[in-house]
Amino acid sequence: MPRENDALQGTLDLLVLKTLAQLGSMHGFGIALHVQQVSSDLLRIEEGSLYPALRRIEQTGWIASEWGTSDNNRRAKYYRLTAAGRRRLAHEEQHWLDLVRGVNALLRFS
Amino acid sequence: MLGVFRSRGIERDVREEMDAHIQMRTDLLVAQGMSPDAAQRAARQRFGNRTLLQERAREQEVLPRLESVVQDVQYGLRLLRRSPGFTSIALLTLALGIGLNAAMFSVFHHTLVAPLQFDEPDQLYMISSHAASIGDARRASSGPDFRDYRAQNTVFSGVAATIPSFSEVWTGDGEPRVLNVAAATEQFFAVMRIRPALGRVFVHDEFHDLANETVVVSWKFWKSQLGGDPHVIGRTLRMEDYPSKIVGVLPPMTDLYSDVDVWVKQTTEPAWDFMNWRANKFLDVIGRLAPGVDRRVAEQQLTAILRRAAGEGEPADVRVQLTPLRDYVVGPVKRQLAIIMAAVGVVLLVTLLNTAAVLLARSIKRSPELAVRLGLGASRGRIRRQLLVEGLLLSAIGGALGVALAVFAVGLVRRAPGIALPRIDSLHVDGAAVAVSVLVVVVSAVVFTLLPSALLELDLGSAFRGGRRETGRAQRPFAVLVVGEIACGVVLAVCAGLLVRSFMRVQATDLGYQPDRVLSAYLRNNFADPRGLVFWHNVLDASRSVPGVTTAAISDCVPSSRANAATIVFTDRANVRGREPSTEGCWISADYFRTLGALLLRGRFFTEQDAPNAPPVVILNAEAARRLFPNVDPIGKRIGVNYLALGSRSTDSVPRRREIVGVVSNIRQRSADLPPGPAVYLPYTQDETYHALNSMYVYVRSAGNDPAALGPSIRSRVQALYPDQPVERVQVMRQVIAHAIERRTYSVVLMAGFAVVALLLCGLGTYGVVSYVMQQRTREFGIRIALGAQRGNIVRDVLQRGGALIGSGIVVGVGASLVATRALGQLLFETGAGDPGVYGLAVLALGLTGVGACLVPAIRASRLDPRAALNEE
Repeated sequence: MPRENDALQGTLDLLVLKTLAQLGSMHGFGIALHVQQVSSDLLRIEEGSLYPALRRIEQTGWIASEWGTSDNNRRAKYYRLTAAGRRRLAHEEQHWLDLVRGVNALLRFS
Repeated sequence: MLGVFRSRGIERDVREEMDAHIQMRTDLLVAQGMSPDAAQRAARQRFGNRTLLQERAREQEVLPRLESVVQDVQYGLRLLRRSPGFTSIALLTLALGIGLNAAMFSVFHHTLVAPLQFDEPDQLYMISSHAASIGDARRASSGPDFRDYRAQNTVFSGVAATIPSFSEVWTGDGEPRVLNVAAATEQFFAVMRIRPALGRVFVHDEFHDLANETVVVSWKFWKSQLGGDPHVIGRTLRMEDYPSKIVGVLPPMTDLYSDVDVWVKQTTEPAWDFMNWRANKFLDVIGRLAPGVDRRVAEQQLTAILRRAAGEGEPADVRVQLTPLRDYVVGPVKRQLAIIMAAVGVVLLVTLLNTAAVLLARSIKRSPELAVRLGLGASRGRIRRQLLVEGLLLSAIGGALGVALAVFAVGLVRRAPGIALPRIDSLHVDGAAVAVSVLVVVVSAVVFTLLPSALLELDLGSAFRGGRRETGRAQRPFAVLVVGEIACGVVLAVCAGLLVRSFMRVQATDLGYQPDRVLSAYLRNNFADPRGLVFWHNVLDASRSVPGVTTAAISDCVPSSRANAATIVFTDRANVRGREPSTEGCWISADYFRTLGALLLRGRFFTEQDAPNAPPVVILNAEAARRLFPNVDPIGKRIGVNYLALGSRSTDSVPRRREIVGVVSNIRQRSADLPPGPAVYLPYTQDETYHALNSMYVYVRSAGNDPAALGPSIRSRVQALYPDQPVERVQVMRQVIAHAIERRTYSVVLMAGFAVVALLLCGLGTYGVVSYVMQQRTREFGIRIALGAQRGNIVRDVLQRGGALIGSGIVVGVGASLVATRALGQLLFETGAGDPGVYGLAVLALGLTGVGACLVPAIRASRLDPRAALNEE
């Protein structure tokens, strides 16, 4: 979509990177499931947009992928964080916290 | 190719990954107690449109894949086929603009820029001299000049002289012919670094052996007259009744002396009188500067050399000038070609504006479609690439057509009669022209694409919301394009108009004589002695005896084409040496003026009684009488005439004093578009040197309307008396005049052609743009008509809007024309660069074209069925 909101896209990147930081190595479905469960169903990654995003993030070099076998013997592509991805994650986290602090400050202003 | 494979691999990868995802979701749902079928359906539903997502994932790739470029090309071709109207207009304008540009650029580049065919041509210079005290005219060199330069200079690696052009009669091989002959000094071929194609050029010893004539023939002459005979070396040519042995054949010489048939050797020994006169400047002297020598240094040195000859009548302020050989060759047409090139540039600009307008209109029309594709997930880059491919496609096809057109046009230029361009024999569409065309194609493609897509960027939001409501913002680029086009059209129309008007003025100008029933022919003989007097007397008698001839005359001048020069020595006042007034001069027979139809103003014409031994006489034209004898009756006065061409040359002796017996009307002697200068006429019988008798033109006046019909009879009667006598260049006077101004004709035809093309393009472009804008306002017009607006008001509204644009274009164009037409300079003849009539016509033409182009869409708008218009969205 036209300018599909950089903030949202950035959020998706943050979720993916953070998940991989927590899980080490995971396939797309696992990432989506993890986000949903950890956020108690508050966050749901739109599955369709996940794979294009993974491709894009991989192209920028923040994650790397290789084919592997899932717990129930399905062939799946596993993603893991690269060193650049780790640095990027720190940056994204800080950015997110700033955003939240800013929005909160605005909401609490009376 | 690699890209295609890689693209396939990625596609499979992505598909597999997504399939795995759906499977895992299905597994999970089944584990939670769903039936496998329902689970799979749910998983798929949740995942969404797999194909689309796959495409989007692929587009995340940084570089475009070959595969998708091929797709874009196919899609683009399909689109072009689907709208043949648009496609043909765009291709036509592109092909015209690019084709004209490539053709003219070829001519321009070949004639003015490409180096001459000789080795290291930049070292070659033509040497001339001029002096302000004698009118500053460019003078060639004399024999003594050349010998001094050659002996005293230290700046040249070699210096050579030629007698560039004279004619000799060739007999003994069929029909007698007059050959164009040039004479070269010993160093000439070495200085030019011309190596013979066959045989050899002249060698040193030959220049001291004048008894045995040897000649070198040109490639052209060898091919066309000697049949390309490979055993031609050693063959004998009979020239001027004297056998000359052929020793060599030159390679093709397209750049210099291209019309020479035969080269003879020119000795610099003082054996020939005419090589010894300082003032007899008829030699082309060409020097090759030694490496590292500056041209100005060389000019200073040669000036110093020439000034040492002050004692021989050389003016004290004489200056020597070195002209680069290329400038010497192409000089006369430089400005004209530059003007035509500029005109082509303007046509190209109109072309680009036009194509941009058409493409812009189209891409806006397509913006809903593009918005939908964006909405369906095509990326912005992808769409931009698609547009770029379409633009390139259009430009490439247009460019290919254009280059084909250029090849055709250049062939036309090369073959067309009457196009007197130097170096034209070797003209072709050259690599540089093609390179420029390719550049134009690429640039235009990018412009055509970026312009619409930049606009698209602005406008896609509203397009996506499904509207076709255009705002003023979207129309602004169109306004600029229309104004630009109309302005360019005005400039071209004004330039063309000025040239056409000049041309008409030249045609209608009073030549000072009546050329309509006159036929001319050129005769050359071997008599430089009293036998020539008998010869010409017999030729005149033979010509007069042809039925239908009323009078016949001879002269060494050709009216409206060329005249020789003379200087005047007074007997009734002091003469300042070196400052004698200069005039045009001609040797003529008694009936010359009667035959041409010029008027006698005072005194008498020459008669048969003005014989060699009779008192010497001269006739002035009105201009000479006015300048030389202001407020005095010149009849009966005596003057001396120094004739500066063949005939009556004086070395140091005082010219004969001639009595002025008549004054005639001014004849435009040098060309129809040059004002008549002062002129003196001398009876050919009174040339003591008999040189003038060598070569003359015969003129006859016909009783009927078809002077050309007299040609064969004159030839046969002359040849009945002198069987070996060639009668050449048989032409009616109108042809001669046309030939003299053919360069002007050529530029008028070209300019008028360009103006018509530009007018057409302007019409097309304006029509396209106005139609498009009207279409955008269909809904508005529908509402207005439904609310009871008069249809006339709608038309008026459209015309007002269009008229405003056209008006601005015209204002800009007139302003630009006032500046641009200054460049026309000398091409204008008795026509001011600001001629109001021409401007009026140009404005009218563009105005009518523009308004006409608006009228069709305006009337269409007024005929709208309001219901249909409102339902359209």
